[in-house]
Amino acid sequence: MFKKDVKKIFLEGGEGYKFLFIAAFLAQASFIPNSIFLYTLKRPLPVFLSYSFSLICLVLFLISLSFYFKKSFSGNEKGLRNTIVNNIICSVINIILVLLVMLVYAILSQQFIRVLPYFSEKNITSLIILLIFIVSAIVVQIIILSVLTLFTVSFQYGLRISALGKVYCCILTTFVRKFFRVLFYSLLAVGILLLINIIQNLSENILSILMPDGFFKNFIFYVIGAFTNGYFMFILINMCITIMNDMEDKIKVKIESSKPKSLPVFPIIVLALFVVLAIIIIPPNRNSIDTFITDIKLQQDKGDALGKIGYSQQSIYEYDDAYSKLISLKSYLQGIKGWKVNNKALQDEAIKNFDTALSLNGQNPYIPYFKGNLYLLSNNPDSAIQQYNTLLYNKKAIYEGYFGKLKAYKIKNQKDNIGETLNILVSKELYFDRFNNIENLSVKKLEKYIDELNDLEKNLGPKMVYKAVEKAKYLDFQTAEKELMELKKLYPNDTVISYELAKLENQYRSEQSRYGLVKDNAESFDSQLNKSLNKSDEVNKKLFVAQMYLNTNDVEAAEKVLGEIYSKFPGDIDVIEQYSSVLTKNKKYDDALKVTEAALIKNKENYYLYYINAMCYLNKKDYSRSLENIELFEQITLKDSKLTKKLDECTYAYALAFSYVIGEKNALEEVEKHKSNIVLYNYIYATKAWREKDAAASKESISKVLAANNQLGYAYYVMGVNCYEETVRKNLVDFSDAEKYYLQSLEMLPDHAEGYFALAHCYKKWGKNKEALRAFRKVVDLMPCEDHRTDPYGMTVHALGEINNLSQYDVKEGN
Amino acid sequence: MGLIFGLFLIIGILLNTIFIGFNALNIIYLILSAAFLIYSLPFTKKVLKFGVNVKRDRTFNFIFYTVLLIIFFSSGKLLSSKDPMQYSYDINKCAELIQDGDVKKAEKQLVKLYEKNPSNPLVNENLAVVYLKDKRTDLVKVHLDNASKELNFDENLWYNYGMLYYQQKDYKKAQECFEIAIKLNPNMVKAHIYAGTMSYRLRDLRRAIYHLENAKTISPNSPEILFHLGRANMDLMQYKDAEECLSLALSNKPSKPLETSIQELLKEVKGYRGGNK
Repeated sequence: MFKKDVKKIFLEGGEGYKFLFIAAFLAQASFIPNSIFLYTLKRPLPVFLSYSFSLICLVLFLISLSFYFKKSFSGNEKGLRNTIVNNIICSVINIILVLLVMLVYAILSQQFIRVLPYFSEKNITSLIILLIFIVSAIVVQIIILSVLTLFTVSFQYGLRISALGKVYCCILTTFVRKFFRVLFYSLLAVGILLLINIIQNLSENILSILMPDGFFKNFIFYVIGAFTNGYFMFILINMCITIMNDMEDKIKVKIESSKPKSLPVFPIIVLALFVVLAIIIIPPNRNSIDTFITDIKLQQDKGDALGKIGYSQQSIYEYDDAYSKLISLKSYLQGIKGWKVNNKALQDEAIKNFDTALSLNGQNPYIPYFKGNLYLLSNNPDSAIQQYNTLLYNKKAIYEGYFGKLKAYKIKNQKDNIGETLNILVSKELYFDRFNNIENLSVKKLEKYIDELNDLEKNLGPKMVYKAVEKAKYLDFQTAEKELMELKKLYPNDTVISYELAKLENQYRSEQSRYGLVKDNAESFDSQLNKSLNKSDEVNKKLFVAQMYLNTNDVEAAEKVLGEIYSKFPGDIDVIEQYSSVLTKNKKYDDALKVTEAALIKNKENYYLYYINAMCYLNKKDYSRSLENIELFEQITLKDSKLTKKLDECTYAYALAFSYVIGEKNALEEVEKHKSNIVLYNYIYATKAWREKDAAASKESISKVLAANNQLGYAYYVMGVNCYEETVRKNLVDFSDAEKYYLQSLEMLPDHAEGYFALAHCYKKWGKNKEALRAFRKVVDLMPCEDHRTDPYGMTVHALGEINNLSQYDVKEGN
Repeated sequence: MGLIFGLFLIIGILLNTIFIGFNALNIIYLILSAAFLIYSLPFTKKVLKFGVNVKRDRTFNFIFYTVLLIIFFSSGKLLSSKDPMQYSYDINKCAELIQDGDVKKAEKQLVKLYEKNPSNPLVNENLAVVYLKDKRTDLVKVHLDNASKELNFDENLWYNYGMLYYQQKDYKKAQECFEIAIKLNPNMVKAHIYAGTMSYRLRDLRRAIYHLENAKTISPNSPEILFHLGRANMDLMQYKDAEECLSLALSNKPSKPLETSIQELLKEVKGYRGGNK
């Protein structure tokens, strides 16, 4: 059955094809009157004129289509004039109906994009959503085919407007009855449409190779397009007729039963629905500037989204481009305002401001376009042409620049160039200038837009902070700081800038010069970010500020900040941990214990509070309770492999602290009571021996620690130091043992600057200069700041010196 | 249909002549369109009596239309060589030749184009690329400088400047140029790779890793990127990351010489990670 159908659809009834060809050509023929007017007027056409031409072409298309039906089908016995009038009226309703379906389809597609991220989850819900969308797309496609059938039937029978509803009902019933055939046809139509698209693209490419640009090339292209589109229309019409072929009598009954003067309910409903949907979808009062501003906002959102998924460079590009567009538009508006109020200074300033836009994105095509337009306003056609010429090689060129060029050539009266420019405009099918209306805006309107752009700039300008943040990522501190400082001057009250500046200054802090900057910016951040914060944000903010105070050795200020937030949120565990830690640092052991003991009632499994307790009791010389708490800490951390790093770090710190007091009698007694705790007991003795430079004893103890728990990076480090010292003292040359332990330690502690520093020295002593250089570089990478408080041995300064000395051993290869 | 098509052609070319005036091409188009129209007239067919023999009519039709089309389009191609778009087409052809490795042929054609229009930035840029391949740095500089007058914000121009400085072993300048290219087009993977390798050569390892990570984000399975990233990570003693990158590079079928380099480096990294080198 389908095979027969296909033959019918593709081949039968080609007598009136020439009318379809003419109709298809006329549908797109508005380029002819547009070109004629452009060549005659030599300036952009008013938008309404262009739209009027399209409307006239549409009417001509419908008339030509009527001829086709009159020639090919004999179902309509009315006169040609009557048929044409009827057809045009019904077509308007049909076209609106198609547009209505398209609008629904557009809304559907929009929703589809929104739910697209859910598909990555690959669960049953996402499958159902996908299925719903596929089904609705097919339904919409079938509805479009049904409207096209109505279109065909109304031409075939010369339908009156009042009969449209009844006939459409009849078509829908037929569609339900012949569902599978309809489905097949609609899929076939989509396939043919795709094929035609490919053919048209191909012919466009071939034409651009074989023919010069201009009107005639477009003409030939549209003639070829008319052949393909005409044939597509021919197939569609045949499809609709095949579906409806046994319904002829029924349709005729419907036509006869409809009263000519009855109210056309169906068209009224279609019109009403269309108006409602159009009001909902199309935003009111849109002009080129509004669209431009919306684009800038969208681009800013795109930048945000790209940044969030880790495409930082792409995100910065979007911010730069958006900001560049903003500045160029603002400068243009300012320039026009200057021209309108006859203020030369304002015009010059506007021209100058384009440089900022250019520095943000040199490829912004609006810069030469707007700048050229301003030069034209100030009657400087040569500079204007120079600007428009740069658009020639811009990948994102806006061709409206050629209108500017046309104007400039007209001023200079260069006829050849005028003709060439007109030819380019026609070949690009550009007949009206989107931005033409800007120059006609009143000063008041211009000021309103400038204000709107200023508001947008307040939002977009600070986004430039991310460029500096990127530079900080690869340790280009000086440039990052310079950029952030400049931004701070422009936007002194911006929270993000203060936050990033505090972070950067902290990363590169030095006691002499940057402690003040870290604190100042942290305080700015604190004061700027105080409006309607939720608990979590407020806690995080205060913890950050306190950390900055701690890093700059202002422990009192840190304690004050944390004390305040503790009194506000006494149950918050992060605050409790930080506050008790700072109190311990400030030697307020009783206060710290008060905080931790109160918190431990509710948080019995918090390992860190036990560690704080252990340190406090140790400092209070209550060794028994101190060891009790550190054992509790150990028990909790051992249960969870994620806490191994904390166990490693805190046990090392505790053992080191205990090794200072072990000389005291009761301390020794207490330690001996914990002999069964192999790790703790031996760690304390290992660090004691290490401090006493008894490498052999230290090695013996620490190897017991490692035998009991081989996940302790610091223990490997202690072992490495002992091996190194032993080798040096014995005047040996093989440092392989030390290297082995250091590397094992660093595998677990990849950010341990001291470890790399020790390894670097080991390599240097061993004569492995290339490796030593690598390790010294790593020290500087981890600790770029020269802060003698956190780097008491001056590792960074020392490492920098060594890098300088050893650079002769650098690897020479590498492409 | 032939008649209608002929009429359309005549209308189109007449309008074109009114718009841009008489030129050689328009006259040829006009003659051809007229020939088409006259041939399609029923009167002509009657005179020629083709209607009698359908088979002969079809054969002649086919030959006539084919010859007409060939003359039509070849005259367009030949007489529109001064057209700026045609010029760009020839330049693009040369760029394709360069990409296919036929540098000598591309150079020959580009020199011809350069003689016709020495200020065209695209010709200059492509010539610079040709000379870059031959390592004739003095000529590269001349042509890039010429191109930069109008292509100052083109990422390829800055990339090629980067390559020029790289060949001149001025890695600092090369790095700056590659970074400008990235700023102009953050999706230009090769600029990210070279910015990374230049930073590596300058021993700015964190910067090298930064650029190479960005390249990896765009092209996650490129063995070349993974090799460079692995090497930079190794030099910054990030042995775990280095091993991951190099293993991934190996699994993505690198070229033979690259595979050998990756294997050597991987062996070294594993030695450090085992702690018993």
